[in-house]
Amino acid sequence: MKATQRQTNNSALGSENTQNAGTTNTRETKQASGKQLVVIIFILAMATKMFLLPIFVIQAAGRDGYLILTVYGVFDLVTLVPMIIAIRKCDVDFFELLSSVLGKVGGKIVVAIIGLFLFFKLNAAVAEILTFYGTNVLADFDTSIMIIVLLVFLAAAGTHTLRSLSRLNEILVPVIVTCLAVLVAIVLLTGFDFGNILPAVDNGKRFTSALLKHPAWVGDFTPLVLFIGRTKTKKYTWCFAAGSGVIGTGIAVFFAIALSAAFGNVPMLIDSTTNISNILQFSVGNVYGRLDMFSSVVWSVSVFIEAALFFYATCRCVAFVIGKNEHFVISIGACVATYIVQVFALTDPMILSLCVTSYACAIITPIMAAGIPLLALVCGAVYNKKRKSGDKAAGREGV
Amino acid sequence: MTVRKKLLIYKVLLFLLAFFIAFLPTTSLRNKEVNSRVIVGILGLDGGDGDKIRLTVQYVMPTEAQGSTGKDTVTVEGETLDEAAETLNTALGRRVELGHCSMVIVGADAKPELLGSLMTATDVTADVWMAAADGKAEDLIVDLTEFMSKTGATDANFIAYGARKAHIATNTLLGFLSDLGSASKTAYIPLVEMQSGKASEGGDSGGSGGGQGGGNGGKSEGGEKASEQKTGMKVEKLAMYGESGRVGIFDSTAARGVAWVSAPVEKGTVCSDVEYDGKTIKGVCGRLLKKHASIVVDEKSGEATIKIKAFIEPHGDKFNTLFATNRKKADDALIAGYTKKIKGEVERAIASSLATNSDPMFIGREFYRYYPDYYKSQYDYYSVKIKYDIQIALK
Amino acid sequence: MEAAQRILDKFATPDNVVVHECKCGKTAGALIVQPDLSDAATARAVVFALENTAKSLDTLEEFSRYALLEYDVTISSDVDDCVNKLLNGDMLLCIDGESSYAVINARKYTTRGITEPPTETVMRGPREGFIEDLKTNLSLLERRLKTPDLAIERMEIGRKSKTAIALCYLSSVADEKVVSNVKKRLKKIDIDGIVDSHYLVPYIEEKPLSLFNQTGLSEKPDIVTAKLLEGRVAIFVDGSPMVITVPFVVIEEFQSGEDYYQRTTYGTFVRLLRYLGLILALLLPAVYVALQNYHYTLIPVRFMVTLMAAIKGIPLSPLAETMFVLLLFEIIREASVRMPRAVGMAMSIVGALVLGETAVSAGLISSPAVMVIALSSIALFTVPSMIGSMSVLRILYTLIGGLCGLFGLILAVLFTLHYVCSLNAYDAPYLAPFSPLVYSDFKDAIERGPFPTMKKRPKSIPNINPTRQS
Repeated sequence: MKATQRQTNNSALGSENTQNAGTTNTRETKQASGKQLVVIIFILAMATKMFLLPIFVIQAAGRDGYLILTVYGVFDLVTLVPMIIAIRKCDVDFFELLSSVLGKVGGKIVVAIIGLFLFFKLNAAVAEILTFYGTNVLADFDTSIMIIVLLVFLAAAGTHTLRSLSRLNEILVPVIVTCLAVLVAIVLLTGFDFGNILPAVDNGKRFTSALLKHPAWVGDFTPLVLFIGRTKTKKYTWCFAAGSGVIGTGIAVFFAIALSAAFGNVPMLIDSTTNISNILQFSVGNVYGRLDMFSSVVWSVSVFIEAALFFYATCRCVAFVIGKNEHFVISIGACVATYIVQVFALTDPMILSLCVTSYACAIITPIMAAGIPLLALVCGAVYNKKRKSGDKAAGREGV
Repeated sequence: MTVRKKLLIYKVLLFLLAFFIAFLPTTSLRNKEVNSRVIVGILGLDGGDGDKIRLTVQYVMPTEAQGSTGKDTVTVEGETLDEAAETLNTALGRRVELGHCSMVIVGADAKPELLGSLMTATDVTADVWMAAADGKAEDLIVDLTEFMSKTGATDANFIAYGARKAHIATNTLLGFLSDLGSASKTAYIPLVEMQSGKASEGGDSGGSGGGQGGGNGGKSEGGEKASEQKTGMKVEKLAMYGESGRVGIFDSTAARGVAWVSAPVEKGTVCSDVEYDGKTIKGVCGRLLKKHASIVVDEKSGEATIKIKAFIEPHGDKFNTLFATNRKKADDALIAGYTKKIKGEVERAIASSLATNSDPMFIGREFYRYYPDYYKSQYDYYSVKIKYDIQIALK
Repeated sequence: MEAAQRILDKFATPDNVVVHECKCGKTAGALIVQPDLSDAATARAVVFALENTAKSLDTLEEFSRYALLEYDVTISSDVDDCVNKLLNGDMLLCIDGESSYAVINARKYTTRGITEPPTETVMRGPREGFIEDLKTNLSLLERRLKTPDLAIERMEIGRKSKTAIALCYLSSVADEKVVSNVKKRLKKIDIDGIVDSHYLVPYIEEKPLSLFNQTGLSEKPDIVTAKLLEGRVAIFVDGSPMVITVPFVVIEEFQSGEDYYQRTTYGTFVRLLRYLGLILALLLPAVYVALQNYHYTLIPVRFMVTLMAAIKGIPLSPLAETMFVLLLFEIIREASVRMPRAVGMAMSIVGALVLGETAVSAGLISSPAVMVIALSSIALFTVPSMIGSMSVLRILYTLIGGLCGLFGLILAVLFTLHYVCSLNAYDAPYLAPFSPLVYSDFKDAIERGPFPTMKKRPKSIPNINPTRQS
């Protein structure tokens, strides 16, 4: 008989929980892969810029709305460059980076400001979602109930890790891309008249005014600070990351052009019930059902993901500022805060409209959008330099 | 997190979920179920007494018989479109579902700005087809309802089909409004006319009910004679609109001319007389396979060149007869014939547009797109020199 | 005899144990046997050998070496260990003057025959299935993996049941971290008894309270063999035909043994059907209710007209109606599993015809609702291992779809997806190879690739030897 090991297990059960693997309070190490970073950039580039922003800029600037969106898109792409460099070069967590360069207190102050900005972006995204769904998909539905459903998802996103969110995005992107590809094909194959976007900048004053009124939509790449020090990058990841940003922005601009061409002559008629799907010039929806709404709903999932990322980033900032890793409690707190803002502070859509189109917003948002990646880059460079000199000193001492 | 803590959190969340579910029906109850709504298939707009608006709809409702449906019409009036739409709910005793509306018919006296309100204030989608009535949209809808019950059509897409087959330009609601808001300030809609005929012996005007999608014809408010029935429809003309309203009706030739240049219509038949061997051969027809049309404008000369390239596949014995002796000569003759025909139709359209002070070719829009300053300072539609560059490719 | 008495004193009812006193060579001895678990013929043969062939022998060591040569004998002085072995069916030989016992392997108990498991029937392929005997199960495995790399680590879990557990893996393939993790978790179990392999599942899973399976369960040796070859660890439990395998990824739910015994194209087609079936099963009732309640504009005109005619006069709201039909189907399904075969046919007719058709005729529910739920329920059975969790999820989605429309449904789906994305037990992402994207593993995910193309082991399962074939 083959001698095999035999064991009897009689040990008393301790208080230790055997189910420790994968708990949400573990310190996050390398959570995302290069591929996941690339698809997240694609979603961030495209989501909110394709959602209601084209409608707002067309209402303000008419047929030149797409140009405004292009300017914002290019601005964001420019801010993406330092962000990608920071992700590539730094191998420590963003919060740790700030702490070591700016000091503990200084780091917390900066993170608090960043957290406030991210909270603002979160609320803007949530307000857009509620507006879109409240006017298109779920008319007559109480917004204060609708938001609860959304906040449950956001709370789940905030409680789990960046890895879960990145994986979720990775699995959804093919669906979103397929939907977008179908829409692009329909736009191109049905003989859409793009000539309506001409002439460009016919009314310079209106264009400038509209350009200065909507910068609240820049800064979509700011949540990428979470990926600093947590992403497994490969040699050409940065290349693909930049490319995906360009493609995402390009898609948003393409659809903005299509909407501008469709409503260029009648910008007063565009509203939140309009989306790229239902303005295509063939009347299939009436007989076969509003497939356009269905496709809008599918690609608008990208906005949910973006909102989840903003929420997650806000929660991490709060966790760092208060110095506790209680993700669940912080998520619930952030949900409550968002609920209060959306239901009580922003009851009237005009209030949100006034906030986002104010000059204060027009100044602060681009500064933050550009400042956060630059801060990450600079802090990363300083940190690396410190570490190198520290290593050199340690090396000399060793000798 | 320990298992006990997790369990506690799950219990709390479950309680909240139950609470949420208990509260939520209060919101969902506000929503009506699908069978408490009325589906509108066709919507018509007319001017009423004074500044009032008359709204006529063709709607579909399930009848008493299991699985069968019926179509009927109703007309309401209101000071504004919103008011008329609300009156519609009251008139039908149910919430009206406009999202499935497949056609909007505009009466002769309906104002175009109503259509903008229609798109923004109601569920009518931007890509709904448009049609025009010679007189009242109300009468046309009643006639169409009767016609549809006879033919068994379930939706009004057959009108757009008919227009495309006749090589008449079609338009959607957004397309119409966009054209009207463009620099040319002109928009067009195909005009739908019903053909009348005497009823066949032993036939009844009710039709048979019980079938899905067919069902009984509705009551006609037009007061037609019992012996006369709508036997078909014609879509040959275009109703032309300017900012003030309808400015005219283009006959079939002019309408075809507009379609050559402005509309994405690519199907249809082209027939022309061909001069061959000193003889005139009438009605040599061909199938239009594809066309490319554009207008090239030049601010310096003030010219607009209408460029059309049409791919036509001739068919019929007449072509074969020509072709039998000399292929090249036949082709040249056909090309000349078709070119003349197309040019004639476009010229007729231009003439009609000048007569009605409209610009269905959107020449003004082209000038505005590429030469906005010229357009604002010097452009005058009546003084534009129009040139033609028509190429025919035979397949 | 004192040594025998020490053993008998451990029992609550010593009469259950039989003691054969006999002459063992020069001394007296006693053979202690558990007649319910031991082979009577072996007991007789041992007594005969002791009395007739061991006349000159007088120690247990000599007896085991010379008289009991053909038997598997070990010497033990641990009374508890000997009692344990007696309870497993071994015989104990004790002699005057020695405190040790000779443990003689004489296990023999009735087990059922190897048959095709009812939960994993196939049209092509092996039809052997595991049974409740650990020894037989291990032999089925060892017949298929004739390699010294096959590691079988045995342990006993359960203070009272002392259930034999065997941890099997290929030492040249399985990741050591996975193996040690599993062992650690098993060793921490302190329970009075393990009756079935499913008792171990909550201790092995990352999130035992989760709705989703995080361990693989199989009754077929060919499937377990294939899983071991991919780097997994299998846990056999004595008394249970179900073998647990870890790590587990969700695509295993969609893989059936039969996929590998059919042609590639058909295997791929059937897999696609399963994915589609699951999506239909989960979302069809929810979408149906959501469209009716909130998004009728999405319904094509012709279908909407049919629907309006069908639901005319139904007293229940669409959500209530759908929930009612769903619960009805669940009750019928559960009852059909539990009811005796004799009345099974009659009750199925009652359930299907009377409840379904009569309810529609009476105007309580509509036929579209019955059709939708029926289609959803049938689609659920394309993935039988997920029936439990997906049934619950289906009801939740229907509730959410009916209360919050497509908005709520999409968020619910996102929530679920996000949750399963967070499952990462034993370094194997639950949703791999979809998320994170692992291209090479797609050969056996949606499609069932040809065997020659599967040169590497799946990267989703940690392993130390990625090459499968050259």
